[in-house]
Amino acid sequence: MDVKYILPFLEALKGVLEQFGAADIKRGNMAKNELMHVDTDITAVVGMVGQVRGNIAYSMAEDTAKKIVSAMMMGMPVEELDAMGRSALGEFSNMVTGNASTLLSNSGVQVDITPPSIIFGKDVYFIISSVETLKIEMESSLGKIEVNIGLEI
Amino acid sequence: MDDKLYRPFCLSTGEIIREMSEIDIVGMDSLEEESSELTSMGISSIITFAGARKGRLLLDMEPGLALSMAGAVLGGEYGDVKDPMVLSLVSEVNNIISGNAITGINNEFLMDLRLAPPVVFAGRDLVISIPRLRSFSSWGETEFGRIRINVAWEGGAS
Repeated sequence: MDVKYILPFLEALKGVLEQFGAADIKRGNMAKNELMHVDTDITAVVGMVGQVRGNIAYSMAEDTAKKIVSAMMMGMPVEELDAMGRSALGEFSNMVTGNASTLLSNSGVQVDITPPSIIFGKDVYFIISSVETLKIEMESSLGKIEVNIGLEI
Repeated sequence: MDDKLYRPFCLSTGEIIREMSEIDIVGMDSLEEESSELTSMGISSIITFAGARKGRLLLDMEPGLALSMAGAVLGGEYGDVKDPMVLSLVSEVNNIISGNAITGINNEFLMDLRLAPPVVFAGRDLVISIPRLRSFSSWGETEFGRIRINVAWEGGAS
């Protein structure tokens, strides 16, 4: 997978995290997978259509999700991820993928994003692409987010 | 609710599963509104689409049905829905069901909808939340287990 298709997602995630006040944002481990195993609690998936087709999955622990939602709500304490919290997580994944699609279109790749789905569960096995999936970890003061990018180019 | 945007998925599900695996679905002839959270029956697949409008299809089934479909289509015996062959099969079935339904909707309503690739998943205590989308489910029964499709369109049910 060409790096020009990957960097926009990482830049967009970094930008959105910074916008919500996250600090110490660092890129962690990277790996290629066909089957994606998630041992965190929550995964938000957003699809992409156009010149590039695919799915982007953002997986995180519940604690990280609560911190992100709290940051999005101006620091309001979040005890549980209720309907508003889940909606905020959907919006978070929408913002990241939407900003990435703008960066892609700036480099001549026209795409549109599809509605987000939030999946809660334990020990979840996913396939998000019929080709390989690239997993990249992003650490920040809000916690770790595992970004899985499955693009059919 | 304008069921012309929902019925094609119900019809396509029955047709494609029968064609591919010779498994008949009984029911799947009514639609009911769901809450924003759905508990998976065992293995689920989501396909989203975008064009003149955006939406998604969730295909959800009990493990026995997924394992029987995999045996019928791929040959052999399967005992775990987390087996990559079973996950891939359910993913491909959803791809064909959605492709078939969306082709019909595009032809009738000129919506220029394009499909994202399918996402398929299995695990423990799975709950799927689709924020801010009004969705409708249709349930069916087979001799190997239950199946449900859930269809949602952005901008409501019309």
